[in-house]
Amino acid sequence: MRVPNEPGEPKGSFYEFLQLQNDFYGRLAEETMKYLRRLQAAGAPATPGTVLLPDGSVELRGSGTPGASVEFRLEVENRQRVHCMVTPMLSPLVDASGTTWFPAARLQPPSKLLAPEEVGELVIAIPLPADVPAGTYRGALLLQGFREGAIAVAVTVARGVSAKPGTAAPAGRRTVPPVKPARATIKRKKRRREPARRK
Amino acid sequence: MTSAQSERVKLVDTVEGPGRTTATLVASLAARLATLHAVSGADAVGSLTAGFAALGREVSRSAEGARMRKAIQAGRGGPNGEALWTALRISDWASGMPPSPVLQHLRNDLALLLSDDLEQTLQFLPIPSQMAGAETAPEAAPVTFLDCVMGLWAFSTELVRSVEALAGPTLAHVEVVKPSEGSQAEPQSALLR
Repeated sequence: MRVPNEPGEPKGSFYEFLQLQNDFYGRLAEETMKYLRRLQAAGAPATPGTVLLPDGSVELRGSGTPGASVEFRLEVENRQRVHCMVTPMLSPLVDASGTTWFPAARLQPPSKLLAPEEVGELVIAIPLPADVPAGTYRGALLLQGFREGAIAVAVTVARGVSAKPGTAAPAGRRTVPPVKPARATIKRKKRRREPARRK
Repeated sequence: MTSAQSERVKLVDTVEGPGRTTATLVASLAARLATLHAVSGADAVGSLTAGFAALGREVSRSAEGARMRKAIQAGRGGPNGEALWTALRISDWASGMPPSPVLQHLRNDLALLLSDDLEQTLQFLPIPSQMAGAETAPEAAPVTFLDCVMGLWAFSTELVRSVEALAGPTLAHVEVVKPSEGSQAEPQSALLR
């Protein structure tokens, strides 16, 4: 039986059978390799890790007007028997209307080394850009590298006059100097324009 | 107006894996070194590449990471890197490798350096290490150039901060001038005069 390999020539059913066989063995080899890799990963030495355990249902809530800053404080307690490095990162914040805000959050300190039984404080300052629409923006504070756990964050942006630089913060709380809002990126959800009604 | 709120979280050991103690960290490091003799160089490098990419995917979920990623994508480096990875089939190769938890390894090694019972623990070597097992094996995910670059960025940032934290408690913050302990006489040799 002749099986042509020139393009355009009619190929018989035997060619299709060979093609099917080739595909099958190709896929079989691929899946076998994946299985072997997973087996290799399962046999690798275990890496002791860390998980985040919040005290109850933790949610960081804050509110402010455009131009001001919202500040959160998070206490992290190391309950492990060795030192642990903590690096917080804030996810993009999303409003119910679909507006996504990529805040230019300032994390102080950017990383914290905690000794066993030590409690460290992380300060997360989020400047509210002048052009951010009013609403409640939700996201999460993640601790980089930890396998599980995140802290819910909700920032309510109220309508109002933009705060002047240097506005006094409540007593006992650190004043956050204004940050250039240009670094923050806001993506607004595109709204479909309704067609004009005919009279 | 600035409003502030304070909450508290705890850092604890994982339930399924070994706890973080000096003994388990030493065992993990020793097992990692022993594994290097059993795998090829390509496997080791591929696993590290996949590990950096996994970290890059995680970091890209943050606002700062997303901005950084978008900036790299918009420049010349992003498309060129992807073209290189596609042409040389680096993505195909690294995607099949089990990702190494590079950030956890760094943190565990740092914790060992700061451990106060390391000398006593080293006397008990060899300490057997637990295997990762199928449950904790990460799912295979496609590895891209951008994931890897983001992972390298996050890893190197953490590395710099770790070294600074290590030196921090004993680092002199003021200018130090140390006078020479030798004799003040000028060298007698004609060559050094």
